[in-house]
Amino acid sequence: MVNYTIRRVLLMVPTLFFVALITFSLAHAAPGGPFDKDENKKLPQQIEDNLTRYYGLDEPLPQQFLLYLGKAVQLDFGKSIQRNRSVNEIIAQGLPVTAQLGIQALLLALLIALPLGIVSALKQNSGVDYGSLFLATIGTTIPSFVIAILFIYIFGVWLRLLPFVGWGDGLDFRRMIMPTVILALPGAAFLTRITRASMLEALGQDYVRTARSKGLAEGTVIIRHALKNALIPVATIVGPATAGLITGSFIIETLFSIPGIGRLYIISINARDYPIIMATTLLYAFLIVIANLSVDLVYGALDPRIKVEA
Amino acid sequence: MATLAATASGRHHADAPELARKQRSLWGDAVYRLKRNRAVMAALAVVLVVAVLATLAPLIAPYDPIRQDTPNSLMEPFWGNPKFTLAQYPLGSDQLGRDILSRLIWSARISLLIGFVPVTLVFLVGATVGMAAGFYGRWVDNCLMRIVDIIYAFPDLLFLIIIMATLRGTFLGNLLGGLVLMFGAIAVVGWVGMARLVRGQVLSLREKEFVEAARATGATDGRIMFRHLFPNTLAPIIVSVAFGVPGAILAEATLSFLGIGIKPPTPTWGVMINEGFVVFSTTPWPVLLPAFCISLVMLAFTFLGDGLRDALDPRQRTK
Amino acid sequence: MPELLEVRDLHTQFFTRDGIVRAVDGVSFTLAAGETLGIVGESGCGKSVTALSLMRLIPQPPGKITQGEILFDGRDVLKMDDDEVRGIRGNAIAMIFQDPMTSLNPVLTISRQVSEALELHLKMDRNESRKRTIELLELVGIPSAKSRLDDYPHQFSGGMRQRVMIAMALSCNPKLILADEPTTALDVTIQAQILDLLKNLAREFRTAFILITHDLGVVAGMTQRIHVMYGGHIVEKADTNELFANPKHPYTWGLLRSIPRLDQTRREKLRPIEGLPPDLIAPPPGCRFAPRCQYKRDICDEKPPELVAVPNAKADHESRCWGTQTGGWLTTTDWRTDTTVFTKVEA
Repeated sequence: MVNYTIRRVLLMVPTLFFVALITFSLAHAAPGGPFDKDENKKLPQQIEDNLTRYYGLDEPLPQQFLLYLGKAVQLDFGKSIQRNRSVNEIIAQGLPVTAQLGIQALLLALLIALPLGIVSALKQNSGVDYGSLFLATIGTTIPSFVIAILFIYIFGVWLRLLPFVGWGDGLDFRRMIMPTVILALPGAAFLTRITRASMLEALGQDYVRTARSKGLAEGTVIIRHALKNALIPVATIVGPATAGLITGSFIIETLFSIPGIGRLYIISINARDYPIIMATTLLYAFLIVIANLSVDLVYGALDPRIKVEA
Repeated sequence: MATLAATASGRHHADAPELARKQRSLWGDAVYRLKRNRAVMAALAVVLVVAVLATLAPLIAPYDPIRQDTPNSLMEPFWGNPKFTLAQYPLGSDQLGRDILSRLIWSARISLLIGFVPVTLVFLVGATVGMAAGFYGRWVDNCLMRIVDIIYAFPDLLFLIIIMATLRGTFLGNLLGGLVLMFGAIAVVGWVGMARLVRGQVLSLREKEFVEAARATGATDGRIMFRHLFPNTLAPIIVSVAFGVPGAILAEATLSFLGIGIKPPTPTWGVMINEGFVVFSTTPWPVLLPAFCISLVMLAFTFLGDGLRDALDPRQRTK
Repeated sequence: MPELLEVRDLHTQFFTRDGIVRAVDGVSFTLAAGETLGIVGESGCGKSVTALSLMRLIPQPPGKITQGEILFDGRDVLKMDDDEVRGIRGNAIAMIFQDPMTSLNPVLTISRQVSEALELHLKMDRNESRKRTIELLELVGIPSAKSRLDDYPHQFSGGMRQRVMIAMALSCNPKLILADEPTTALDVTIQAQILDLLKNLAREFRTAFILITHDLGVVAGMTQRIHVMYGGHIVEKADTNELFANPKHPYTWGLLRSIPRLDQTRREKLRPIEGLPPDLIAPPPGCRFAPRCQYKRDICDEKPPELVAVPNAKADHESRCWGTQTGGWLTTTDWRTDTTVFTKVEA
C-alpha cells in the first residue's frame, strides 16, 4: 500500500510537468502582449520595455519556461500583470471562498445522491425512483448556467426570496443557498445515477442471495452485503466530481459574482493575465490529480481485492 | 412392440414465434427497440424540426439576425405585449434591437454545426488512432496512453477554456467568428476519449477466434482491421458519437456564455445569454428564450443517445 | 415415518415482458428426514427454481409462487410470515449455491460470512461464533483454518470457497441442505472431493439433502432417489438403482446416452439429445418432451401425459410418458439395445 502510494505520487510529477508545458506553450502562442489590451491607454515604450524585461518576456521561450518552472517549484508564481500584487496573494484571497463553495456543494451532492440512489434501487419503479430519474436527467442534461438563470429568475427576481449577487463573509446562509445548490446539482444527478445502478447491480449478485439464504434480515442484507459493494464504484466518481466542481465554479462564480478563483480565472483569461492563468491552471491540475489519487486510495480501502494486486 | 421412428409431423407448434423472438440481427433488433421507445421518437422529432429550421434559416428568419434597431430595443414578446402587431418582432428584441426569433433560428445552425462537425473529426482521428494503438500495440499504444493520462487529468471544459482563451486572438480564432477554432478545440479535447474506447474494444477483440480465422486465411492487417474489427466496435462508437453531439453543443454554449466562445455578433444561444444577462433582472426574455432552446436540444440529443445505447447494448438496459 | 418435506403441486412463474414463464409447473414430491434426493435435468428445466422456491428465495418481482404447498416439518412455508421464513433459512434449511466465485461476498472476511448465521440463529457471541467457525472450517477440510479466518474470498481457490459455502450451510445443523449444482463450476478433480465431502457430512450429520444437477453421473453414487425434471415438470421418479437399471422415460434415456462411458466402443458415439428445451412461455400442448422425442406418436403432441406408476417396475417408480404407461408402445423397449433411435427429425 505504501509503495503503491509513493508510486502514484511520483506519477503526478510528469502529469503536472506536461500541464505546465502545455499551458505555457499555449499562453505564449497567443498573439498580443498583456500590455496592449487597452488601445487608449497605450503605455510609453520605455515603461513597456522595462515591464517586459521585468517579467522576462525578452528571453527565449525555453529559458522562460525553465525559469518559470524553477520558481513555480518554490511556489513563486510571480506577480499579476493586471493588478500590482503577487499571484499567491490574489489566489490566497479567492481560494477559501471557492473551497468553501466546492466542499459545501460536494457534501450536499453526496447527501442528496446516496440516499436517493439507494432508495430508488430498493424501490424500483416507485415514485421516488421516477423522481430521482427526473432529477438525474435534468441535472445531467440541462446546462448548469441555464438552471442557474432559472433559479435566479424565480427565487431572485420574481419571488425576491434569495439574494443572488456576491458571497458575503462566508456565513451568510441565504446568499450561499443558490450557488451551492446549483453547483451541487450536476454532481448530485450523476452520483444518484451511479449509486442507483451500482446498488441494483449489487442487489442482483449471488452473494446477496447467499446472505438471504442465511436468514439475515433484509436491512442487514442491504447494509452489510449490498451497500458495501455498491459504494466501491460510487467512490471512484468523486475524482471526476471534483473536476466537475472546478469547472462548475467558473460558471457559478461568474454568474453570482462570487469572488473566488473560478471567477478570477475567467477574468484573468479575458485580461490575458498569464501569471494568474498559469498558476491557477497548475493549481487545478494539482487538485484533480490529488482527487484521483485519493479515490484510488479509498478504493483500496473499500475493496480488499485491490491490496493484493498493488 | 416395435419402436417407431418419429416423423416430421407435429414439430411445428411453438417453434415459429420462438425463433422469431431470438433471431433478429443486432441492427434489426436495435431499430425495433428504438421505434418502440416513445421518448426517442419525440427526441428525434425535435431534432428534425431544429435541423429543418437551421437549414432553412435564411428563408425562415424574419429579420437579419445582426441587424440592429436601437429605437425598438428590449421589446416584449407577443404574449407580453398588448399592442403587438405582426410587423413587430414576434419574440421581442434584445438591448440592441435585434430580432430574437431570427437570432434563435440562426443560433440553431451554429449549434448543429458545433454538434456534428467536431464529432466527425473526433470519430475519424480517434477511431483511426485507437484502432492502430489497439491492433499494433507497442509504441503507438504507449504514446496514446501517455497522452490519455495527461488529458484525462484535466476536465474537458478547463482544457477547452485554455485553448480558446489562448488562441482566440489568432488568425484561426477569427475564422467564422471563432467557429473554426471551436471545432478544432472540441475535436482536440474529444479524440482521446474515442481513441481510448476503440483501443479497448480492439484489444479485447484482437485475440478472438474470428480474427485468428481471418489471419489464417491470409487477410492483410488492413482487411482485418476494417472488415473484421471495425464492424464489431461500431455499436459503442455510435453510442459515444451520439453522446458527443450534445456534449459539444453544451461546450459551445458554456464557453460562449462565459464570453470565450463564439464571438459576437455571430448569434448563438450561449452568446445571447451572455449578452442578455446584463439586463436580465428587468427584461428576462432575451435570456430565457435561448436558455429554453439549449435545454430542449440538449434533452433531445441526450434522449437519442440514451435510446441508442439501450438499443445497441441490451446488457446496459436498466429494466 | 412423518415426512420432513412435502411439496404439493408447486407452481412458480416469472412475469416477463414476453409473457409468463411457467418455470415450475405443478411439482410434487416428498422427502423423509435424513433422506437424499437428486433432481436432475438440463438447465432451464426448473430445478434451481424449485430449490429457491423451497426457501422462498425467488426474486419477486418478476417471480412468484402462484400455487401449491411446501410443508416443512408439517408447516406450510408459503403461509409463513417473513420473520418465520427467515427463522428457517440458514437454520433448518440451508443452501449451497452453484458458483462459489460469486456466491461469497468479496468485501467481507470468511469468518464474518460463516459466523453470521451462528450469531443470528444460535445466538452466539463473537467469540463463540469465531471458535465454532474454526471448527466448521476444519470440518470441511480447510487447512490451517484458524489463520485463514480473516482472509477474504479472493484469497481462496474455487474448491476452497465451495468448502466455505458448505461450512456456512452446515453451521446451524440444518435438517435439510439444498445443493444447487455445487460442483458444476469446479475442476473435475475438485468436483469429486467436494461430492465426497458432501456425502460424508450428510451421513455424519444425518441431514437430508437435495442435490440438484444436470449430470446424472454426479447423482449416481450420491442420493437414494432421483427425480428427473423437464420443462417445469417432474417426468420420472425412481429409486437411484432402479432409475439406472430400468429407466422409463425417453428423456431419461437421452440423459443416460449422453453420459460418456469408459466401456464404450469407438463406434458407439455419445448421443446428445437433439433440439432445445421447450419455451416455458408457450409450452407444447401435449407432452413437453414430444418435440424432441424420437419415439413420439400423435397422442404425445395432443394430450399431456400424467405422472403415473410404470408397469414392470418397482413400486414407487413413476413416469410421465404415454409410451411407457400400461399399454404404451415403449413398455418393453430397452434403451441400450434399441436401434431405431436417432432418426433425425427434419424441420
